[in-house]
Amino acid sequence: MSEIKKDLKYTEEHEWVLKDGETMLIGITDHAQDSLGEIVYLELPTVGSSLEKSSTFGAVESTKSVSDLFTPLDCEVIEVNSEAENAPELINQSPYGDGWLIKVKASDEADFNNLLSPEDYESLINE
Amino acid sequence: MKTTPLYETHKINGAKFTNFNGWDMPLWFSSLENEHLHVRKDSGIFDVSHMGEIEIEGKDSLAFLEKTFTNKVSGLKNGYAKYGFFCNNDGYVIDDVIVYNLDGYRFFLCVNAGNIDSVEKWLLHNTNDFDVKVKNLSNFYGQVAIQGPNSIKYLSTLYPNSNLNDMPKYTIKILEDLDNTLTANLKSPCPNGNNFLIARTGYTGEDGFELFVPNEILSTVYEHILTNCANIIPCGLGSRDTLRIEMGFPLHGNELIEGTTPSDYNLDRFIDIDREEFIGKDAIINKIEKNEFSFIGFKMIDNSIARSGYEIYQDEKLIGNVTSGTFSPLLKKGIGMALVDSNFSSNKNLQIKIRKNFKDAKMVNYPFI
Repeated sequence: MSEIKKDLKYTEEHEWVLKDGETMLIGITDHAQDSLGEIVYLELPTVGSSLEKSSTFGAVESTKSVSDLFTPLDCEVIEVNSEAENAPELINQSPYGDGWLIKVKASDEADFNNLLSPEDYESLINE
Repeated sequence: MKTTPLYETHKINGAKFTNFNGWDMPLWFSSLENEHLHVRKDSGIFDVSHMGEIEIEGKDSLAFLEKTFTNKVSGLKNGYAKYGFFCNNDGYVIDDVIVYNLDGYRFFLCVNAGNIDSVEKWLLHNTNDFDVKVKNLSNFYGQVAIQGPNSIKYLSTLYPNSNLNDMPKYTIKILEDLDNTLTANLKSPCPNGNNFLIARTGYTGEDGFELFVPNEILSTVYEHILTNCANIIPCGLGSRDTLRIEMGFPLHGNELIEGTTPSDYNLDRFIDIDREEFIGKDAIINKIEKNEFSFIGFKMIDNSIARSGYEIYQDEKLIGNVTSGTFSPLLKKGIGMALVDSNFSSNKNLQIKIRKNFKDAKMVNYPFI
């Protein structure tokens, strides 16, 4: 069974969002990394770029497949996880921890509340 | 979705499944990379029961294959096999198959899962002038492939009565050991006799064997192998694909697509062009003269993976598409094959469009390892 953390919000595209004061951390879920298999490359946006909700902000590549990363809410990138870019296996090993992808500042913090709850995400992946 | 008789066993072994041509097949068990590397240095077992088996039998079976198959079958000794193509009149590949000569009278074909019906139909359509029977045995046979440098060691110990050590590559024979122990239990015997076949063939580039086993006893055979050969690990279709790409082997549907002929993929050695006539020959000769495409191997310079369908550019001009691409678990780099305009320049880098960006790749010879 894939792990779903209670203190996070989720998207239908299998990203998670952690609200930490004024900033938010974004990554892919345990379910997503497990479906992809060993991740070998990671493409992330540059710091400072503005992202529009639902647009792609990068991609994760495993041997077998590639998966686009979708922006959960309108935001600006303030940090990217360069360690994970150099060692993408971190995403497999620790999708909710060291394998985070980007740190952003949301244009409207209220958008966070519209994301999926852990319960909604759980029913989504069990469909 | 269709499942093989090993489906429940795969579930217990922790398989992650994928839909392949309507079959629910294992993509990997623990890890695609581990399975890949284990096959390269030791051995693994693949469930390839989705593949089809067709037998051509009758007085004219050899003449029939001479008319329909691109490679030369006459002169092929009993028990030996040849790889080649069934092409239509346009030279387009209906399927790439291995033809095993069982006894000069019966020929056993291993065909791709997605093409079983079209091959059967096409063969039947061409039987008019020949005294042959085309028997589709795909529902009767399951198939497992044991691949890797150590597979001979394990299987010759497991099947001592079959003298596998003396078996040359690209041959087929009856697996005596299974016949002796399991024939009595078969509820529905093989339409062509209780012959469980073993071939020294495969799709990984390593030494190995393919076992054609009645579905009814496939899980008994599979579990017997896994229980008695601790170093043979279950492998999924994921590593089967990366292993074949590292060797530069074509996959029908990725390579060998409509609008092309086998000669477009450097596969001329499997086309017996000296033969007076076979279906598709004229179209293939025209295509060779036209020399439209080059089939090349490439290795990514940038850290990226080019996959099937991606566009390839040179000097900002679109010159072709990737046919198969992956991350090579052995080289730890993106590799692939591509069909490009024959006027391309082999000493200049290629630019492959990966999502929104162009990534550099260089042409290399395959096999890649």
